[in-house]
Amino acid sequence: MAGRYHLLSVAVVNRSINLGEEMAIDIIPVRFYGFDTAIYAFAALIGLAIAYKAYKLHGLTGKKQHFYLATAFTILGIGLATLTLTSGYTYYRYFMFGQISLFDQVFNIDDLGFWIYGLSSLVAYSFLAMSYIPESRARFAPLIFFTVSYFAYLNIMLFAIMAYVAFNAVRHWLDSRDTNSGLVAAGFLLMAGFHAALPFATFSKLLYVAGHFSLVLGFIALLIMLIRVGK
Amino acid sequence: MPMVPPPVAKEPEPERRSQVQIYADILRLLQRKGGAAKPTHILYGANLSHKRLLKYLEVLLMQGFIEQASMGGRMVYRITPKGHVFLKELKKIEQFSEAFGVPI
Repeated sequence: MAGRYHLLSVAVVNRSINLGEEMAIDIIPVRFYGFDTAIYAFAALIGLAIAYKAYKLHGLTGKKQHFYLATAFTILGIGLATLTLTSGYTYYRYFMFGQISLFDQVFNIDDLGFWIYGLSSLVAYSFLAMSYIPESRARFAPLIFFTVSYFAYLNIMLFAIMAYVAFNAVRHWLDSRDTNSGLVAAGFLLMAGFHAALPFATFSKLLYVAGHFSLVLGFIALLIMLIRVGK
Repeated sequence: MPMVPPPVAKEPEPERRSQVQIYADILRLLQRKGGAAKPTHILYGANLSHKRLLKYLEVLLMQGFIEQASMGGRMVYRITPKGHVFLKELKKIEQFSEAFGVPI
């Protein structure tokens, strides 16, 4: 479960490799084992449901912004589904065999899941941000996001992109005062909260739990929105 | 020195409707008119040129969202059950799009 560290920052990744598994697993409270996997599974399902709806929207309008929205949630859903599988498998091995390593002592399957999730989140959030950029300027956006992210700490970058997305969603909600827009804004803010809490999980296990609750609440807000618009 | 009139604040230009919005406007107009309307009523209600209106009506006819009918000896366009279903689905999609603040 060193993967949690991998998302924190480049520096911490190196630390986790040096320190090995024992240190890495230390950021997750024992009572929370497995709950994070359930949260990822729930979030993946909601993400893919939103993607399905967004593809229907794109099929109707053919607009690039709707395509970005659909692509963002597809990639995010796939990333979270991967994390569900790898994290679930890691817990399974931990509870059944008392070991979490698959490849070697420092890089296990959970790490791989987190790397895939981290990269897919980066791409997904970039697409989300692009859906808020006017079409004429959107073509420059991927270049900006990917160039910056290469040099920055991954998790901080994820927070920054999500904060931008959440800012636009909140601004839209303030303009429209629409309940569904409010739910989307709340969802994005809580998703940003997940990435804000994770880098500090090294200081307190509670922040790891708080971050995951923030993530699940964010996806619950998106689920409520989906149910409301589906009526 | 000649008096220069103060600059007039520009009113924001109305946003261009997308094709989907125009189809929806025509179908909603038919709904409001009790399900059927004459071409001239649709022309004014949907705010389209005659040429563009014919193009949109042709697509709606082909898709089975409207049908031609005769009412009091005059030709009218009538919204079909499929057209009603389309409008209902479109409303959901519009709400979804609106929730994300990405216009349809």
